[in-house]
Amino acid sequence: MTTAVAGASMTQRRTRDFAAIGIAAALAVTAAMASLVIGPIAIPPQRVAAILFGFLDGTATAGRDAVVVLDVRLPRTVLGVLVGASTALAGAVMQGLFRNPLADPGVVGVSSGAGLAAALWFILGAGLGNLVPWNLGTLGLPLSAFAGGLIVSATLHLLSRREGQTSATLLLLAGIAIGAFTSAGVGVLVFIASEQQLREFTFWTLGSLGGATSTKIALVLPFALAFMAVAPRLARGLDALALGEAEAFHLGIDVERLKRVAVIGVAAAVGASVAVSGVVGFVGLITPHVVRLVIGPAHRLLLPVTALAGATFLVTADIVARTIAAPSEIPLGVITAGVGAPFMLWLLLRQGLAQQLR
Amino acid sequence: MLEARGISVQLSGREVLTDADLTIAPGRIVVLIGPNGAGKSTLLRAAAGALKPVRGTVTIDGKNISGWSAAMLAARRAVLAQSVTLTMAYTAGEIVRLGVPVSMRNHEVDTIVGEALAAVEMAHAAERLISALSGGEQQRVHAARVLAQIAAHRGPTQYLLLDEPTTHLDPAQQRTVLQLARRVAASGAGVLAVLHDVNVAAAIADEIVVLSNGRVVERGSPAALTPELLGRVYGVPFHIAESAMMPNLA
Repeated sequence: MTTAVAGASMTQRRTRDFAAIGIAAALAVTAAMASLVIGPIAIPPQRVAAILFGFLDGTATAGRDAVVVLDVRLPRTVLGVLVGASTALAGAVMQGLFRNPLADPGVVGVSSGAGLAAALWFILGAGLGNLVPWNLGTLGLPLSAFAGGLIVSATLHLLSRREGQTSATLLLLAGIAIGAFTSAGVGVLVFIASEQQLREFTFWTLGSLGGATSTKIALVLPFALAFMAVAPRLARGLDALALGEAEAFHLGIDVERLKRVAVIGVAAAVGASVAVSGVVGFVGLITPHVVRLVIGPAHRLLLPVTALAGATFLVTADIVARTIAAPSEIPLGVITAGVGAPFMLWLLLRQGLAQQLR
Repeated sequence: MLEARGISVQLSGREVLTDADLTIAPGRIVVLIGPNGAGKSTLLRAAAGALKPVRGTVTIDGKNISGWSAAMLAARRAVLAQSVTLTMAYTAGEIVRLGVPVSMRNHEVDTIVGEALAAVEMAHAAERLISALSGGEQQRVHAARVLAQIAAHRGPTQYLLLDEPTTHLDPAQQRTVLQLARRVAASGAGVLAVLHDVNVAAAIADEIVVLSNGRVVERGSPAALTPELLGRVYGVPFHIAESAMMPNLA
């Protein structure tokens, strides 16, 4: 090794990045394929592939199998990919923004804020939607979820800052307080809700990809894509922010702009996700952690790999949710938290031990 | 030339710096000394464009920097603070790379990062996690990051601003950082440093600026420092000790 190049060169690093993204993408594609094949009605992979190709080149296959694959499993899988990717990505961006591995849209109340706002619209505002011409009323749900997420993000941001630095303690306390408040809000709504609406609340609080339709995909797609397009531009700023706001500014980062874009992006992605699939816990918290353990914290690579890993996690969890107790479905949040929480505890224990041994 | 003229700064409604002047010429080392709370770091932060003064202007080559973007400032000055805490497991190489703009070509980045790490004798640690390094080694990595930032923007005169860079360092590590300041100045950049140790300050400074209660009370060559002046500024008696010991900074 010459003295001029310290450690891996940029070219070696690029190669490593491509390999990591390639593996993560392969896992996501595998999970998506599995999600199309696995279900209560057995359809062999070759048949699924034939139906998909038929769908793509316009020679649609008729029959029960085609209906199951194209109208049930495909929308559900696509929705899972979009929601999983944006939720995990939102977690990674938020952890970078707050310089804190505890930050997550679920933990600090952004998701529940979006959920409460969506539920409010659902109970009280849907009537307003009917007054709007065409089908614009259907936008009320994602827009109110977005607004709810944005209000919580902005409030947290304002509350947790002291002298230009974000205080982790304040962030968590504010997040917990906001979480308690949104729970109270949901409690009130439960009190005034009808039987039918109560069932829908289970959906909001535990999440589900059931009832996935092309309309829901169309609702979440623009928000998810916009966030995924913007996120890579935040990578360098988030890395610099790891040194503190003052250092990031010294390194040439427009810190205020970075925070504004990140907060709005997270609120948009989480709000839209919550609007179509409810509050799916733990994906945003745990996915970036696991990815960081494998590839390190540099956001240039962390962000795309986390998005792919989030898609894999959610689609896999959904397969479990709809098969483990078939024909009934377990709420998605039960699986993500039921598997995610013990896994997270195991990671903590392992890291704690590793530190003690050093 | 980086010049601050008549700088006054208010923090939380209180004026912490009043009518301060400062000139950093290319190739020169200017050191700010004074008691805690005298306004040294405030003056440095105003010179860095990180604090907006309520009165006065900071100019680089005669151009007022008040409207400059963070990126424009970063192209002309680098700042090393006394300690930086990281909450995530970055490697030393990744930290140094932050000094280099993303637009730079791969092999140029490799060269700049490699040379910066080598300059602080940390080339072997490029792939090590920052958290696995000692406090002194971490500070050297951050010094390398600042060197990389200066190297990446070669061309117009660069300014290196050091805010108590030797706090928490042992004498050998202090020597590394201060020799670095000298080397940067020798290469033509202007250096501003806030230091606590008046002897170290006198040893490396071309000019010393003494602050007290938010005002510049004295400026000149290190020879201008007298026990009387320091006694007045710090409020404790000073004398010239015959047997004083300090690291050789040559």
